[in-house]
Amino acid sequence: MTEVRLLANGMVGNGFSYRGFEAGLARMPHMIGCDAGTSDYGPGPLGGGRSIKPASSVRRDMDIMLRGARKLNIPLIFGSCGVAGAAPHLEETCAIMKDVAREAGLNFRMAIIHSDQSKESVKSALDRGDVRPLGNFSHLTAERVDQSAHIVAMAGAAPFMDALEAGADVILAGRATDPAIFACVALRAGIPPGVAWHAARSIDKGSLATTDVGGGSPVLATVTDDGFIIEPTKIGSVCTVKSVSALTMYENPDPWSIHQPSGAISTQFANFEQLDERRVRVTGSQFTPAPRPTVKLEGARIVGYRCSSIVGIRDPRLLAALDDFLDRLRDLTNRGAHSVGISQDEYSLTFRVYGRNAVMGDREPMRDAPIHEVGLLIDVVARTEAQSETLLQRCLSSGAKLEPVVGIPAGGNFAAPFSPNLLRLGPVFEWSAWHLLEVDDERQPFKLEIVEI
Amino acid sequence: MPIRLGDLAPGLKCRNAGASWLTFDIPFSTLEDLELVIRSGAINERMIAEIYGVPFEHVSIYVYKPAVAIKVTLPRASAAGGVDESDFDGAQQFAPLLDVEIA
Repeated sequence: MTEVRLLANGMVGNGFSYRGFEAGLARMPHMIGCDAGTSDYGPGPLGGGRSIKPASSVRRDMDIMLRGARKLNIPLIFGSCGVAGAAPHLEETCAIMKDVAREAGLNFRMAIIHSDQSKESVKSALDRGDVRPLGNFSHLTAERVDQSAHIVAMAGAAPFMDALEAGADVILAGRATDPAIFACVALRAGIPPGVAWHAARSIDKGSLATTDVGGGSPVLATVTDDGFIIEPTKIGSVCTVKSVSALTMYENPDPWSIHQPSGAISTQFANFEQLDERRVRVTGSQFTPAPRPTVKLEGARIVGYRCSSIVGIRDPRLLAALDDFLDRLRDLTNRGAHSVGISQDEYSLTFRVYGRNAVMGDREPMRDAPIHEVGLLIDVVARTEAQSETLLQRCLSSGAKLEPVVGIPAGGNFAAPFSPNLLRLGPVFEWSAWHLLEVDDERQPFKLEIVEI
Repeated sequence: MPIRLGDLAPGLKCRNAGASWLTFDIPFSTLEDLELVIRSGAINERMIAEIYGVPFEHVSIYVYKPAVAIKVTLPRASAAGGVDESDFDGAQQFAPLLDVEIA
């Protein structure tokens, strides 16, 4: 019977146990894989075209994994390079990889999977009616496509399988689903898709499959035709039915069904069994092929430039009438904007009241609970950097001169922690695309490039 | 003293499930605790809908026995990533659930 062993680390740059990794190599895995991206940080990394993981941390993880993979002559696969997986992120990662290879004196064949979508191709898909929103996003329009800084598609397993077929020793992929990084090797070995995909999904977050997430243990999946075994490779770490099965539902709306370009991982009939104190065996996972493949599109567009300030408010009289104070401050700032020729549709001014309801907004049940101090984040997003700075300064100076409560003489009002107390936060992005694109072939949106290192 | 959900499921957490949904994973220590909460009926679509201000038919509740957990999924108030976003990954929206009384 075919047996495939997949060795996984969590997100590249987050670190992992070196000893655990060495122990994983001793198990003679058939591949080493690592996710390198996420949309958890919002649209900023995609829009800005820069990874937010420090290059030095990425380099450390990459160096250890590359040396290990080349020693065993097995594929090393990274998905969603540079957090967002568009061209500039992939370039950033390629540069680090080339550097690491040169220093280690290693030569190999590298496949690069490009996930970028041209505006023309997305607009043609719109015309064909092949694009639909995911969840509560509105329909994608040609205008939104044109405004996007980058649009990427999420690759499933097929583009990775093509790269392996082309003899790649290392694969650096743009945006891709997390399990695709691992499923490709098992699928290529002929493992049934239900088993291959669910095994992949169970290791794609690395040490999150263990009870000791902070321990950074790599995780090994031993996959056969009828099921798979998940275990940590670091001594002292353990996997339990709870820790492994929890991954099936993590960050997924529905625990029974996890969507991929070629279909859905179905776990209704999956059986989790504790083999011993550190290993879990899973059987019965299925895969339901999609009638037509879909790939997820992610796009980000710039909506303005942000300038912010954090101030503390401690005056109990002001706090007792905080909404009135903020209304008066907003009114003064708006009038200030008008006086310098900035119209209201060119900016947004948001007061985020930390200590009251800044985190939950209108959903905050404790909004009217007593407070003795708040952190006020004054947040301006405007069409240009100059505008946002002008408005922020205007708001700060107006706020300091305002009567804390009408009838009480103005007294500063704001405790400033920094000098100057102004944060220029640069361009602000929002998701312009968060949609599904129907395709005839899931390979179609991706381009494979082969480089000899 | 009433038992609160946070007493039985201290590992309660939430995250975005993509930018459109918010999903809560509520793991229990034992199957007995999980069954106690299910039997109590305290975790239901209407209660969740009321706390989070969404129509109750948009709330999905799953009992996921392998992880000894209840999972709750609902649409985000606005899609994550807007200019006014306060919690990009939906990491801190679970707090009110800690205080839900079970029995």
